[in-house]
Amino acid sequence: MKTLFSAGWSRTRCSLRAGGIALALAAGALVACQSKSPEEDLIQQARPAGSWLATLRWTGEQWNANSVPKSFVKSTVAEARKDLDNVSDAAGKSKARPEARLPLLQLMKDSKAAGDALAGAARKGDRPGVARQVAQLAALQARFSAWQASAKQKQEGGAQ
Amino acid sequence: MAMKALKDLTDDLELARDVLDKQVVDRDEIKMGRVDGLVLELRDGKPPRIDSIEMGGVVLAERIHPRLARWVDGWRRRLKVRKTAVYRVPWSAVQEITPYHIKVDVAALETPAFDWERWLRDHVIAHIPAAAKGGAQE
Amino acid sequence: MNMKKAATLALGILTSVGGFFDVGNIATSTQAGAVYRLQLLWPLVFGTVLMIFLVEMSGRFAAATRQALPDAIRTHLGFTAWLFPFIILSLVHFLVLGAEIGGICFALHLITGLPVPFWALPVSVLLWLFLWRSTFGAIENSSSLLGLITLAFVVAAWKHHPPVGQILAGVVPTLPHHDPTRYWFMAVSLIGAAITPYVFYFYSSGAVEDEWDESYVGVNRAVSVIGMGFGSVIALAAIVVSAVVLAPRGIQVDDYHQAALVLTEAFPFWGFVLFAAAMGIACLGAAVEVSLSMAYTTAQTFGWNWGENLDPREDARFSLTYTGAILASALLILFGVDPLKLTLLTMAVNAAVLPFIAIPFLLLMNDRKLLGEHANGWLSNTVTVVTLALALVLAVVSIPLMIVGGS
Repeated sequence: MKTLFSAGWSRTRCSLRAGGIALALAAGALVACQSKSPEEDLIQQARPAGSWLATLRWTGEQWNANSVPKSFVKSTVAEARKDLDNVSDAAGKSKARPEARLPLLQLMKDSKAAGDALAGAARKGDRPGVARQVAQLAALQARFSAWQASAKQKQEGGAQ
Repeated sequence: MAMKALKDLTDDLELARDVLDKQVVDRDEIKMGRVDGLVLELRDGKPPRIDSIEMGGVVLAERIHPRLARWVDGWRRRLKVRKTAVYRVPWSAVQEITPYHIKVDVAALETPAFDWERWLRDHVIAHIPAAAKGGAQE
Repeated sequence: MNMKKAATLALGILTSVGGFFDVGNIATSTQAGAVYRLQLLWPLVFGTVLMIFLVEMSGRFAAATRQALPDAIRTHLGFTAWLFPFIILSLVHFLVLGAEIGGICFALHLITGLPVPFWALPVSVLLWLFLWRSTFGAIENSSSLLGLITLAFVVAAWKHHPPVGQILAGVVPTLPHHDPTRYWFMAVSLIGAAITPYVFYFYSSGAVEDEWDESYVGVNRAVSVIGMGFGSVIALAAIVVSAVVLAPRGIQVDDYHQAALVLTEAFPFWGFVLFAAAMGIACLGAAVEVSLSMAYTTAQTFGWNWGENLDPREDARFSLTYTGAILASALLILFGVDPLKLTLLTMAVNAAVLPFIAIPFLLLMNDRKLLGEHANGWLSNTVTVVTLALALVLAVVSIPLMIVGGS
């Protein structure tokens, strides 16, 4: 009686383990198929930067429209900075070609500067200043999209 | 005759299964713990009979693994709050068995089952202000 | 229907609106809308159907047997069978409570500008004091009425005139156009946010505290369908608002600051305050329920005296359980764990552990000796088993992929 019970138990465990291994293999295979070039990796790692540029721009617009307080602009800029720093780090360490990663590094530097300027203008209550940074952020967004497109092209060009 | 003994046995085991893990309340229906274990009395030629119910963390741990029980008991000795590891209530003290609980003729507050409850009330709750609820005064 | 039942019905619906919509919905709905617009409405609808059935079952069980779930599971399935699900459930309680406290702290951060960890201790002390001093009825009354502020999401969605055709299309599952790993992981998180296990334990223990009997079976059904349905509509509205407001601007929700902007377009000036208030109150209501659920589950598992209507002096172990849980969870926020990341992790864990939580529960619901005519019928069993299996497959496939694939 007792052995029967334990045999049944171990069989369940065995099949559970087999299922786990199969699953891990399947996941591994999927990841292997998705293995990317350094440029593609960098584009993916830079994704939050584009979203943060849009966030900062809109935060500036909302502040000028009296819809968010100064403290929100300040803390949003601080949060954005963390992710922008991460993207800078990724670009620094990336094995992508210099034509792809150096412009991104510069772009991140300019974005952080624009963020700081936005927070500074909001702190001083300087509406025209905030409007200028909003325009600056819109330009940075355009540069970021252009960078994404060119990095993609470079990667395709490199592959040929 | 043998058939009857077998029937008594299954009845008793059924009872044991039904009672194990049930909520235990004292004579004032204060919840005092659960039937963590049962002591069965084995009798020659007669079906076993429930001798007493057991309450205590060590009894529970014993059901998982004896080593866990030793570990839990080690902590009990070190903390010195609960005096006895296993609190036994004789089956004769059972007053009623309902689908929800089993009522025993003791006063929970004075039993080892309430050692921790008492200790926490006197050493922790007593030092926290505002321990009376607004609604309780109505 | 007498007055007491009518009041129970109204209150129950309000409470479950608050019980459904919490930090998990705010995080997952705004994220899904920002990235996939209206394509991910279906996991929420799917999760809501399962949630309605499970909540209805837990209330029916309490009404028919006058026993709360953890109590009955220990009694009927035994300590050894319950121990593992109980440990998992306690862990989930701890994470969810941390995420809810994080949500309250973030709402206060929005309004005051003070950093999130600063609020961890004041919030937990306030939450604790509320539980320590209040009776069960008072908790129900206050959290339910305040919870109505979350309807701001529905009003905002309405004001944006969303494309109805696309909304209906989003209710049908479709394959993603990009980032499949992220898509499926978000689908799992949305389901995890809809089915929050603490609700079953809280709701059935609450029904026992309110002394429900068999005559409440009908009220219970109405409460679960209407209450969970309403809650789900709010979460759906959050997806819609985020799809209309954030997605076109290219804003994704990698941080709660980005989610905080979803209402500003519909309500200039007030949108920001409304978001903070809705988030703070939804999370506070949920934090109250999670803390109590933790205490109910632990006390019932070990047979301690329990009840939110008793003085802490009469149920020291019960009261100190929620006290400890609140403190431990607040530490997560105090030490700077990111509230959004904590929430997303918790929602995925929620979906993954669902079977452990639901299987003991389903076994009990089919016990005719216990429930008699109120035992589960084929409809409840089929719907829960099928949806549970689907949720499990989704979770088991997408979570490892997300971990291995990164991003």
